[in-house]
Amino acid sequence: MDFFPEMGISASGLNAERIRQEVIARNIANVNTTKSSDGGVFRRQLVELVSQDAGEDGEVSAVSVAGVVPDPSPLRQVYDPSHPDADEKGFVSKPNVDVMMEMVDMLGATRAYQANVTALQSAKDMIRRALEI
Amino acid sequence: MNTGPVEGWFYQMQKAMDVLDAQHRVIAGNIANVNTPAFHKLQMDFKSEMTRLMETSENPRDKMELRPVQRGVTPDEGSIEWVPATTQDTTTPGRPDGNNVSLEKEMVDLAETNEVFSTLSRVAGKNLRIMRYVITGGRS
Repeated sequence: MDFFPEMGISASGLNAERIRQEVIARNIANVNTTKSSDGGVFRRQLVELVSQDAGEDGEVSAVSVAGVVPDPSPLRQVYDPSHPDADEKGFVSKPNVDVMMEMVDMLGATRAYQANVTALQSAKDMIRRALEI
Repeated sequence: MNTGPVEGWFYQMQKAMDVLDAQHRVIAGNIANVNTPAFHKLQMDFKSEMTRLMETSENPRDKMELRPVQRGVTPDEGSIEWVPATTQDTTTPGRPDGNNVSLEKEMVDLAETNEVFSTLSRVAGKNLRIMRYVITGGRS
């Protein structure tokens, strides 16, 4: 009876959801950023999650963050000729961040985080019960 | 065959707790991957194993015994070694990103696994205490 691998699985879930939460927070904070560190308009960022495949003997999968990638969907175009970053037609490219979408994602990440905490507590509980036999 | 006063039930209980441990691991993996795109949830297939057990066994008493087995190894014909395999559920429809983990079901299964595990451990503890009482004649 070996509980430590599955505590590692829950820990990987906690880590993945926390990273999602950070990326969402960054997206929301930069909803109007027209100049990011790499020069262009800030692009909404997405977190790529992958599960480590279940092996032949039925080992279950942890989750890992494969990367944080920019969302390729088109930027918002806002008409504001007085903006310093306006192009010759008077349009400013604004980040493709929809705050409502980010809020919904945040709810999902929070709920998943709580579920992983419960799974971890449950594993700890089972260890404690086994020791009390 | 383990039928002694300690080996019989205690051994079976140990095996049952091992199975519950494996199930807990499956559930933890599903919860960790609740947001992973295209992830098919894993499940332990108890029903088909129990059906196979009941159909192939001749001795009614044998139906309830658990034996030490390797996880994932197909038992020989006529033996009653029982191991629920972990399979991917590719039939349940998923969300648009392909993920078919139902968080509610996993949480309920988690709570149930935990409760059964703690019940088993309490029963095991109680039986051991009774045994100790018998061995020491009540003077412990």
